[in-house]
Amino acid sequence: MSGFVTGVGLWTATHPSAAAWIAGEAASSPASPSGEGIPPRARRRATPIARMAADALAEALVPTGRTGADVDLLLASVGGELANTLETLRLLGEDPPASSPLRFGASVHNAALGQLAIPWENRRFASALAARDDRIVATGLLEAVGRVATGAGDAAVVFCDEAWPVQGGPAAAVALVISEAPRGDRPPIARLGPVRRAVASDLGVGTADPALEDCPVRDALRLADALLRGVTGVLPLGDADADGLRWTVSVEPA
Amino acid sequence: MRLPPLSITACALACALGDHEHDVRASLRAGRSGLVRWGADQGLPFSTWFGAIPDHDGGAQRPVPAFLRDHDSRQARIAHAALAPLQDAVDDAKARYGADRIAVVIGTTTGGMGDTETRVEALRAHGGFDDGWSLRRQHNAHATADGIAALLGVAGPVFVQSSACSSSAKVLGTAQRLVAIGVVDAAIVGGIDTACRYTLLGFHGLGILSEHRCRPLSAAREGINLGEAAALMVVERDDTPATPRAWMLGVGETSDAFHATQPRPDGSGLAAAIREGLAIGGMAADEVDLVNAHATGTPLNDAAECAALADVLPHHPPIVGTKGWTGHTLGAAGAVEAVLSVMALEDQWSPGTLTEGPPLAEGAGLDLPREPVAGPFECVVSTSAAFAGHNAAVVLGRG
Repeated sequence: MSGFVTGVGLWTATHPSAAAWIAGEAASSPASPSGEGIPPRARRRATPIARMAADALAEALVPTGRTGADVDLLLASVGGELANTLETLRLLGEDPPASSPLRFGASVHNAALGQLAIPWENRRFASALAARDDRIVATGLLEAVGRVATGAGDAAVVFCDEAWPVQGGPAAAVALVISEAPRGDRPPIARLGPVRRAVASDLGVGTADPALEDCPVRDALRLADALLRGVTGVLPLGDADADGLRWTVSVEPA
Repeated sequence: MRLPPLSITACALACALGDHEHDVRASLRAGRSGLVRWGADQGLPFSTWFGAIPDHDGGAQRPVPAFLRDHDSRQARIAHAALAPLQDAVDDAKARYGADRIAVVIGTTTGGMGDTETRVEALRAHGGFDDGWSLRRQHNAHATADGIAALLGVAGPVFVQSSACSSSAKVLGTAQRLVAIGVVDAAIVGGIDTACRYTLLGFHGLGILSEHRCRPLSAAREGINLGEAAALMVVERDDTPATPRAWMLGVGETSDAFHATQPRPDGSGLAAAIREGLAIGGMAADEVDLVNAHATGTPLNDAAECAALADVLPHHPPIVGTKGWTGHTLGAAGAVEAVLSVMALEDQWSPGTLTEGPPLAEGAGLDLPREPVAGPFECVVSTSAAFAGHNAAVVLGRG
């Protein structure tokens, strides 16, 4: 089981691109995701999740020579459209219920994928996954690698959570394009080895900003950091259990 | 690419037709729909029909075991009650492969929504949940899978597909790939969605919730009836010594790229999913003996689905829709209909579509039986479609 990482994209409020992340250039004031990867007419209705996913995916696709129409699309998110869902629940609790059909349709977990796939005219496989913080990256990678390794073509997986109204950390999105073979005119960034439960030690990669340690997809930021800095080894994903085992991914030279 | 099939070695089904598979079978044989009228008595500002799990043995009322109290919700209780028929097969699989070689992949859209919505006022008033309610452990979609994994003591990958109404059809594709690439040897898969105002009011707001009994595949169709269900399966690699109830041959998964809440009218996205599922399963279109269609009873879905089925299956196998019996169970629908398809393969018998009115014009030339259908059935296709245009087609073979 393996695949090549051929593209990496990233969005946080302080580092709105992988380029900014690797340069260590934090924005002076927090930014909102631009959603520029979504055509303007569709962008107006795009949720924050869709906008930050679009920003990260657009950056990840550049070196691959692929467009948003010719990759599988996977969204892996701990809470999905949580803020929208809770607001929908609040509005539905009013007398009379006040939510709009548009808001309801946009509150489901896979809504962001539709907001990307429709304007991108992507008619391929798409899946919206959810898992616990310490499993979200491992399971998202397994689903993406599962598609690639069974001959489906390239997969773009975006790990993405918005800032939750309660009980959550800041927003972040990390997109990876995973390919069976090198793509585009640039060499692959790394090769992904097994995703499995194992003992792993800290590889010295981080999230650039201590506040991001509370982000539900913090392990995706660590993985992006390793990929962007050329760090290889067995990267821990999540916390160790009582036996010292945790989900890990092997990041290997391409 | 053709993939090895999965052996379906155990099933569990709780839905409006009964809280155990044998009750479901008895209701279908007796021609008893599980839909009941809901309205003001359930706090709704409108009237509709709903497929509620009957809860004969009080499972949905029983608290989950103490070690799982952190996950407690009505959805967790229903999952807990529904899991019992899987226990022997899970224990066998754990002994055969090891707990870390078994995945849990569940389709759901609601998670603990029904419980969260009773606490939204506290969130507004206090900026938090004042009774310890946890978004991570109880509300979020993944909480359902986390609870099932803990209950069954499995330690492989645990996650949720939350792709609206095709969620629990897609989990079968995920499991097939996880086995094919050697990550696991078995998986507990399925779907669970439970009653909540969020979906009832949301679909009513979209104008697609029917105040009458739903009329799938009928010219008189005017919308859906919702329902709740837990449908779960144990699937294993194809060389398992366990006796298969049926084979999961392949799942096709595509996107419409058309509209957030409406299907592509020509059905081409769903047609592509059916073709892909057949290719993965190594089946030819003319080998399909029965279709359990998504058949929600909305004007747009049923028309698009008939276009897809007419295109891909020109030999016109019988097409039945079962949502008139169960209601549309949303994130659980794909798994409910997969289990009903397993039962059809075993029994060589399928219920017809429970509906009213003349057949829909778009189904002209198709075989749309309303009376029960007898086999032979060697291959059944179950279709699902969803918000965001996410289609799935599950191809199942006789065990």
